[in-house]
Amino acid sequence: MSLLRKHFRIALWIAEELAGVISGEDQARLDAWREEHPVHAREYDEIRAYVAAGKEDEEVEKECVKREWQKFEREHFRKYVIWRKIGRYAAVLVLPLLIGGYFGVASWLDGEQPVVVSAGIVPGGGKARLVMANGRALNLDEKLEVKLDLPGMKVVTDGKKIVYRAMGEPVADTLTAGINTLFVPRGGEYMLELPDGTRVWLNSDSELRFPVRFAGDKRVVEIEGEAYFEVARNEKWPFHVMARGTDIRVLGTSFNVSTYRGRTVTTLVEGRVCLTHGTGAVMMLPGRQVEVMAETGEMIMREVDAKSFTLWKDGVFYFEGADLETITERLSRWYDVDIVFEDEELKKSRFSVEMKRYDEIQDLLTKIEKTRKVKFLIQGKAVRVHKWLDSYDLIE
Amino acid sequence: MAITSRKEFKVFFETFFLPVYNLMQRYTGESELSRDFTQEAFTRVFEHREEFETMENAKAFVYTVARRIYLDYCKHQKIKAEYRARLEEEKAEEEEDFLAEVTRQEAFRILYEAIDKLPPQTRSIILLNLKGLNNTEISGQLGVSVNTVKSLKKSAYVTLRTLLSRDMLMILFILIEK
Repeated sequence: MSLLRKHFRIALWIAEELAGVISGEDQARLDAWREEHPVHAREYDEIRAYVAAGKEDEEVEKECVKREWQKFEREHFRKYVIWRKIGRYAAVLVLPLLIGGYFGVASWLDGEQPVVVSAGIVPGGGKARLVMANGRALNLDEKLEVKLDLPGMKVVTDGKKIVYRAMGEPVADTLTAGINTLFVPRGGEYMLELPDGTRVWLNSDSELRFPVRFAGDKRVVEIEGEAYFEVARNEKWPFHVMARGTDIRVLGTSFNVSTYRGRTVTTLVEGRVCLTHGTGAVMMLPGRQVEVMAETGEMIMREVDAKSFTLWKDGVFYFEGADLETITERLSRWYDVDIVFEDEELKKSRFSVEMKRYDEIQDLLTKIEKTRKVKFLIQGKAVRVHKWLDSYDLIE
Repeated sequence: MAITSRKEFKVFFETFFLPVYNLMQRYTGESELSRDFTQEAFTRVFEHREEFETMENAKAFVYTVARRIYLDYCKHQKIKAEYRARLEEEKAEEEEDFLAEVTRQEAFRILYEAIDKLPPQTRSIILLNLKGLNNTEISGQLGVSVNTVKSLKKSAYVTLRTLLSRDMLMILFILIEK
C-alpha cells in the first residue's frame, strides 16, 4: 500500500474514533501507528484538535465552493462554453427560429437548411460500465460484443445485455468472487442475466451491485435508481433486493423498483414479495405498490396498474395523470438533458401521455404542448419549460 | 466508478475542493494562488477522468497532482531558487508535511460528511459532544432532557457507524443520487 493510501486509512480511523464508532480492530491499528513514533503521536494530536474544532464558517465555505464550481463548469463543460460564445444573441435567435419553423419559412437564414434546434438530443440506448470485484472496469456500449471465459463462468455481452452462465463446479477466483457493479449512465439502459437465471433490466442513471456467484442461504443484490426484476423461482433460496434501506424479499416474481428522490417505490406485477424497512414490514400482492420514504421509513401502499410502471423496459414511456416534474425527470435521464422550469407551479400540472422511448424527445414534448398548458424551448442540451401564452396560438 | 458526467464531476469537485484548497493554503499561505492551483488540480483530474477505476484513485490523484502543481510552480519561480535548494535537502520533511496535511483534511472531510447527514437535532448533539461537552451540558445548551440527548446520541452512533463503515466510494454514490 502506498504511503498516501495508508494515510487515507489513518484519516478514516481518526474520523471513526472521533465519531465514537471505531471497531476494536481498527482502534488497535490506530493506536499502534500512534505509538510507532513520537512524530505520529504529535500528528495525531494535531489532527484530532483540528477536526474537533469544526468548520469555520459553513455558509462562506459553501458559497466559495459554489462559485469555484461555476467557474470550473464554464471552462470545462461544453454546453456552457457554447452559450457563452453565442452570448446575448442566443436568446434573440431561438424564438425566431422556432417561429420560422412553425411557419415553414426558416429559409430566411441565407437560404440555409432550417436549423433543427433539438439536434443535440438523442434517445438513450445500450450503455453501461461494469466494475469487477478486483477493480477492473469494462465499458459496455451498443457496438461492443464481449465473450469472457472466467473460471467456471462464461460472460457474454451483446451491446444490450450481459449474461453470466455458470459452467461446471464453482471455482474460487478473484474475478468471480466478491461484488461486481453495473453502472448505467444517464441516456443508457442495460439488461443483466445472473447465473441463477434472474433477469434485471436497469434504467438510466442506475446501478446494481451483485455477486457473480451467489453464495450462502440467500441471493442478495443492491439497487440504486430503477430496475425491473424477473427473479428465477427457487423456494429454498430467497432473493433479496436491497433498495436504500428497504429489504425486498422475493421467492420468484416480477416487480419494478425505483429509488429516485429519496423514495423507494416497489411495484409488484406477479408473485409475492415481503418488504421490510427498519421495523416495518408488509406483504405485497400483485397490482400493489409500496412507497417507502428513505428518511422517515414511512410506508404507503396503493393499488396501481402495475404494468404501466414496467413499460419502460419494453421501450415505452407511459404516464397517466403524472405530474410534469416526474415526467421531465424521466426524460432528463433518458435523453440526458437538463430541464429548467421557468415557472415552479408548472411542476405540479398533470398529464397523461404515451410514446416510444426511441422516438425523438420533440415528439413527446409536442404531445404535451397540445394541451396548451406548457411550452418547451430546446436550447442545446437543455429544455426550458414555460407557461403557455395565448400568443403561441397565433404561431401554431 | 466513473466521474465522467457533469453531475458526477460536480459531486467530486464539491467533495474535494475545500480539502485540496486547504492543502494549497498551507503550502502558499495565499488564498488567490491556492484557488488557482486548486482549479488547476481539478482540471488535471478532468483531463484524466476516464482513467479512474475507483474513487480512491481519483482522490489520491487530486491530492498528488495539487502538490505537484505547487512544486512545479516553485521550480519556475526563480526567486524561490533557495526554496528549491532547501527542498532537495528536506525532501523527506516536505513529504511528511504533505501526508500529515492530507490526513488532517481527509479526517475532517469524512467525519463532517457523515455528521451533516444526521437530522438537525442529532447533529447539534454530536457537534457539541465533539467539542467535549457532556450529556448534562448538552441538555442544558439545547434545552432538551438528558434522556433525549442519550437516546439521540445512541441512534446517531448507529447512523454514523453505517455511514463511516461503508466504502467511501458508496458514500459518494449516495451523494450523487441526491
